[in-house]
This record gives sequence, C-alpha cells and structure tokens, in this order.
Amino acid sequence: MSTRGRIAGLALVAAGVATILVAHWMMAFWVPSDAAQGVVQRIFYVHVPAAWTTFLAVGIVAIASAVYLWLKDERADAAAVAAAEGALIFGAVMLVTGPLWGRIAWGTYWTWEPRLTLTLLLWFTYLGYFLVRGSVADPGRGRRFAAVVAIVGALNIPLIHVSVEMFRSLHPGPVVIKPEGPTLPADMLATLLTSLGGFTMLFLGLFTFRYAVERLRRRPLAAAAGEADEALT
Amino acid sequence: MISRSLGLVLLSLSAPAALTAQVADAGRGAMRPYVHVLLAYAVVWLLILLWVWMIARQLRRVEDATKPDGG
Repeated sequence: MSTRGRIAGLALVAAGVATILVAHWMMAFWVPSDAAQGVVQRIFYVHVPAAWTTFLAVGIVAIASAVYLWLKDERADAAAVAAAEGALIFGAVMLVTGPLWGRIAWGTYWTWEPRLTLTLLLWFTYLGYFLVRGSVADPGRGRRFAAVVAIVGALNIPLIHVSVEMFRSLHPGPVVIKPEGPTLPADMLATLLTSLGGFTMLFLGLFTFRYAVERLRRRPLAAAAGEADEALT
Repeated sequence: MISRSLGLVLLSLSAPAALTAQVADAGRGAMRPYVHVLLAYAVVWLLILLWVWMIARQLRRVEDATKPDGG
C-alpha cells in the first residue's frame, strides 16, 4: 500500500470514528427523544446510517463487478471483494439494530414484511457472493460467477427502497429523501447527517485498507503467473 | 371461618410481594428501551471491530506468505 493511500485510509478511519463519537454525544445529550416512541427511537441514528452504508457498499460491489466482467481487471474484483465484506458487516449492523428497535416500537423483533424480508435476502445474497467465489475450483470462474451474483443482488436495492410505498408495511417510510424535502425536525436531521457522515467515512477508510490487503494478497500470484507466462513463451 | 381468615392473612402477606413484583416489572419495562438502545450502539462497535480484526488477520497472513524463508 502506498504511503499516500495509507495516510488517506487512516485519515478517513480517524475522521469517521471521531464523527461517529460526536453523533453518539448528540444522540445522548443533545437531540430530544421522539414524542411518540420515546428513547428507543435513538436507534434510528445508527440504524439508518448502517442501511445507507450497506447500500453504498452494495453499489460499489455491483459497479466494480460489472467493470470486472467487462475489462477483466483484477483491481475491480479486489474492490468488489473489499466492498462486499463491508456490505456484510454494515448489513449485519442494520439487521441487528432494526429488530432491537422493532421489539419496543412494534412489539416484535421480526416480522416477514416486504422491506425486512428483502433486506435479509440482500444480506444472504452477499453471503452467497463469498460462497460462490470459494466453491468453484477455477478462481477465475468463481470471480465471474460471484460478479453476476453481486449485480443481480444489487437489483434488490430499488425494491427495498420502494417496498414501503408499494406494499402494506410496518416499516416507516422515508423521512429524508422525499420530493418535498426532509420531514425530520432540524436537530434530529443534524444528528442523523452527522452519524451518516461518520459511517460513510469509516466505511471508506476500512474499505481502502481491505482493498490494499486484497491487492497485496494477489500480488505474489500475479507475479508467479507472470513468471509462468514468461517461462512458457 | 378459619379458612376465610387464613385466606385474608395470606392475601395481606402476599400483597407487598405482589406490589414489589409489579414495581419491579414496571421498572424493567421502563428500562427496556434503554437496554435496547445500549445494545444497538454496542453492536455497531463490535461489528466494526470485527471487520478491523478480519482485515488485520488477512494482512498478517499476506505478510507471513510473502516473508522470505529463514533457512
């Protein structure tokens, strides 16, 4: 990993952690409790950023996978693997914090309503992404199959977004990305955006390191393959 | 008569226990949202630390694999 890349990664991780800690302070001491739901609504400030980060990661995996299928560039596949790991981690955060909130707000940890079901499906699709990679003897074929899984899995994101409007759903609808603008009070919106910024920076920082490790991991193989090619010609 | 008196005694004896149980239940009910919020925030950091640990482990493996043999 280049010095510049290491500095950028470390700066993003440090800024992300610091911003998330500021958001935690805002959540605990600054923003008021929601009038209807009480204190449990504060889970919103980690649940929504985790969901956003998951969708960002899935978007990166899908784009990088499409680039890999098109150009056969190892760097695109390494980026896809790094982002897919992030999608699994932040997806797990989303899938654990949501039910903790739902237990108090809805009286149940889980219900098979469209948004929750589709989100769980998305998480398992990306778990399948890693299983597909590892289950094929030829690594090149495994990568191609996994890239297709990643692209098909990403098609789930628009469905997840519109599911609360298309179907009867317990899950609340959007409160920020709306045609008429956010309907959240200003202090809640500020806390949410701070947390969102922190999650995004932390993800991008860790993604940078994971990508660098993946590139390092492949370097000996690529060098060996290059040497093998030279030996053959 | 004796059984009615015994019943009253038992009822009066059990009332504080029942009241204590109700208060404890109410306390637990009031605390539960706080516990859930705390758990949610703990899960965030635990899973992020898990990813950091996974990256560090993969880096160590790469370093071990690329390390020149001592002998």
